[in-house]
Amino acid sequence: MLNRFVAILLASLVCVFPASNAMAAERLVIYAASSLTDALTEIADAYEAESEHQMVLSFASSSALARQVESVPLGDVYISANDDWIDYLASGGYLVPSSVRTVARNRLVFASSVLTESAETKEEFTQILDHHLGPDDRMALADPAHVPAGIYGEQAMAFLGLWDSYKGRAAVTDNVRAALALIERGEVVGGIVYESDLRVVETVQPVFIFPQESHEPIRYSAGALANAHPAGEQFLDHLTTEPAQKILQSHGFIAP
Amino acid sequence: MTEMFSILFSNWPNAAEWEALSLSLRVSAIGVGSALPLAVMTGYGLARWQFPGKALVEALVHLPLILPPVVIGYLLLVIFGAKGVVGAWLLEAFNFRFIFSWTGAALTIAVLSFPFQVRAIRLAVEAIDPKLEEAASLLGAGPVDRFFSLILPLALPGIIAGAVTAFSAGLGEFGAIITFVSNIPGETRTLPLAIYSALQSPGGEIAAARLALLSIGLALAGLIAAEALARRTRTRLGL
Repeated sequence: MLNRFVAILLASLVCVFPASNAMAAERLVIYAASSLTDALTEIADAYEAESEHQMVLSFASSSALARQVESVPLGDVYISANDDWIDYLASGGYLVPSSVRTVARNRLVFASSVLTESAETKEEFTQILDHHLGPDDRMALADPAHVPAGIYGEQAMAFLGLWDSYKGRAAVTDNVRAALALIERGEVVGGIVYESDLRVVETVQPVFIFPQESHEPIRYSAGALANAHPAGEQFLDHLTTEPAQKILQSHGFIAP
Repeated sequence: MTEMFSILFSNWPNAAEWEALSLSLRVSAIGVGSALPLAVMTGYGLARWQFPGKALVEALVHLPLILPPVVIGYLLLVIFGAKGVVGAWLLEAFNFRFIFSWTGAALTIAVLSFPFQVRAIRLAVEAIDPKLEEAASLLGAGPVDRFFSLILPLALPGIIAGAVTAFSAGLGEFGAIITFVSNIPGETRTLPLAIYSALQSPGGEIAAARLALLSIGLALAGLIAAEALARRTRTRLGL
């Protein structure tokens, strides 16, 4: 009898509580650049426990995600590794421009699991490439035609005057994490990834950190999608709070 | 609309399209061609010989047909990658590599289209009356002679049909190629990979549509050519 009473009480609480709460538990769909995979999963897990919203994460290259959002305008939050795709979606009316904010920054590195040297200067880096990246060798690079990491990579290599000599040796991948996987397996001499990616695999070491001025600033911008649930905006706000930023920085990202 | 049409149907094929098309044709032809001798032997063996473990061999031959292509790509990477068992040796001994190269794409197609070839060849050999072989043998023809002057010509329509099917299947291969040799323009970016890349880029709609049209045209041309070829061989053999 008592058990039944407790059960009814609990059931009514479950029914009443969310309604009386300002925000019911929602299913939030977040599209994010693949380099954010680990950090954002951790943030979302913590946020899920705290807010009771169900977080659904989809990671791919920013370009592939922009393409998805464009063809099926569903979901709540889009986080891109560069501003071009944010602008693209905003201009198409798929994203709310006023909601856009920078949530993290990153650096670009040439990394390897086979090379033991590292370079401080452009000259040293050029020498390493000269020695180890022969005509038959490959460097992993996210597709410079559309993936942000590849676009930054092309800019940086061009800035150093190396792009024309080495663009033919790129092993082109779909997103930056696929490039990282090739580097980790030692299928390539090295490749261009984000500094934060190196936290994921211990065997991959930085060879050269590209100077900040060699490429456009690597900014992760987040925005609410056109039909986003209001809770999506709350999650956006959460991304710049201290707990979320702490997690991002523990994964090698730089504060916005 | 007319503008859309003129973009879709003018200037065929542009440089990137020609690159993807010619690469597709090349890797598929070379892949299927280099697997052909082994496919003929395997097809013949499965049709004519009884041996222990035949069921296992049959299963292995058909495995690429059933396995997800991405698994094939992964296995090829593990075996023929720069760090793979065979790949590392090839690199060491001959400075030869499959990975990130069109030769790897051809190898992928050879493996994936192998069952198509073997099936067709096996059926063709099984259709040949064993008594013909016995007669040839009685007339003093050795096994090699019998194979080249009897079995091979009679099985030719089947061999051609198998090769054409394998070639067409090779043109469409996607998952295993992108997994094993990635998506490098001019080297491993075949027609399906080029379509995929175009679809990834916002605004790449037209490029994807043009490449898709190219694929459809190619498939139609292939089917018509295969039919014509089969008819010609049948007439020549008087079947």
